[in-house]
Amino acid sequence: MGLELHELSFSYGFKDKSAPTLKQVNMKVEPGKLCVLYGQSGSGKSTLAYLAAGLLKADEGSVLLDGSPIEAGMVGMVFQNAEQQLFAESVYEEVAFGPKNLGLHAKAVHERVHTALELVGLDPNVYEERSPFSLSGGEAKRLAIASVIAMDPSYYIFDEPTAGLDGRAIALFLRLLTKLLDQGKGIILISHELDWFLDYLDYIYLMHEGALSFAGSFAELLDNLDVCKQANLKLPYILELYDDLRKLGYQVPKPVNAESLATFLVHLRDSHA
Amino acid sequence: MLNQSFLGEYTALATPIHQLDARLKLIVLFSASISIFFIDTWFGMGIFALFVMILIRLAKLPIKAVVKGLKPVLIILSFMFLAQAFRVQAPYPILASFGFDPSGALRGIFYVLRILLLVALTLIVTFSTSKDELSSKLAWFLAFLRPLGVPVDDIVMMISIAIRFIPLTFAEFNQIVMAQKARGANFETGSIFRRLKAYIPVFIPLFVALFKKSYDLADAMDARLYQGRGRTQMNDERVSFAALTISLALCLALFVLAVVM
Repeated sequence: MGLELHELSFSYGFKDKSAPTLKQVNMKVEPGKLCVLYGQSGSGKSTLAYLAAGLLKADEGSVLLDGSPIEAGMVGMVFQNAEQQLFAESVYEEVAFGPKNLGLHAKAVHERVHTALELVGLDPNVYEERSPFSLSGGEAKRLAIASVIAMDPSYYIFDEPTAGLDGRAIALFLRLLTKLLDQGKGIILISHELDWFLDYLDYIYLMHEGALSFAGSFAELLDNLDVCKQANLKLPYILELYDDLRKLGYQVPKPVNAESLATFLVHLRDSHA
Repeated sequence: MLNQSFLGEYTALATPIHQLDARLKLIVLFSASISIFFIDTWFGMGIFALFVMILIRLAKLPIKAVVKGLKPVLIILSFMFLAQAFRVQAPYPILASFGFDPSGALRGIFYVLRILLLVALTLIVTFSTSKDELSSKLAWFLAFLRPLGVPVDDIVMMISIAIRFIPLTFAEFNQIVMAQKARGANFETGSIFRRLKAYIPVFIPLFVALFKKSYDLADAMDARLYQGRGRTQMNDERVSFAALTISLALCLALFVLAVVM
């Protein structure tokens, strides 16, 4: 069970050698688990996402969804600028686009539209008649996410979902993420901002120049923070603090998160007082 | 992916053709385009073909790129050849009086060769000149329209921006196609009308994004005080005497070739 990427290699075949090329990437996402794909811009994260969603064909290797070869539409892919792909006359029609493409009956489509809109915090009674083009940036992004949720896929790929969102919108997205994980959905989340997802991630993949330079749990990453620096990635603030304390010789207890580090610092202050 | 390299792709190299001023290249191309239609002997066409081959060699234009660039015109050229090679009341009838005409076929080859050489010349210019350089030098050619009140600088700026937006638009188009495919859209099966209809969810967001981008760009240009006229040039616009002499000599040679052959 799971979304599995085996030895994926891909090249766009452009003349421009700076275009990301993937080299023998292996990855696996299981139901109810969150995998974060972390890396610099241009490292090949989005290309990997297109391959994982069956939107591009790999030169070598394979993508399997619960053992079967992947096809477009089987994985719910939310693009980086998903709000720029809205087209329908109303919010309702926008969300219904996917379920209708699946050939569902009107009643099932209606149910899915309402469930998806409620899940992203857009009240159907308020929003369903509105034009997608009249929504704010944050609302449009949530609508784009709802339009993918309405297809009810077992696995999701979110490409830079927090880009351009304010703190409140990010908090809403994190709540949605928790709900999807609780429903048993497997999620690949692409980001170059790890900070927001430290409390949620089960597995982390670090991409550098088209190849995975690290794959492991968060706890394993804590023992290998240098790989982030080798990939020219800025560590999240919490991990930077953890790394500094460790280098100063302190034994910081795990799990590492904002709360545990704050508690540790308070203890440290009290012990020095 | 859509083809983004129709009529050649610019490749930065340090050849004499690349270094030649774009205006001179366009003048030579223009002269050659006229001359070639006045040449009507095989010997004259041979000399012209030699001239094109020397330029290809000088510009270090790979033969692969020439073949790739000529592909789009091959269908039209095939029709051109067939229209000449087959006719009614032909010397070698195939069906009733319709049949093969050897002299027509020879004439067809001659016409095809003429167009192929012309396209090859255009490829040399596009291979050795960036789109930005081509559009910026357009202002020089249109300068005579300024006294008539034509906003030449604005027109050139619009052309230059439009050219720069082509690859971005292709990228945006491909991205939206993938996004709608991820939502189950089907562009590959069904009747032609069904497939055209399937592209509505692609073109609406594409146009919305393009309009938004163009408004943003206009605002950004306004904010940097763009007014069309009175902008200074970053590069030296003067043409060297040697380059000018060689180009004019080439134009003269092409003219002589056209008159004599």
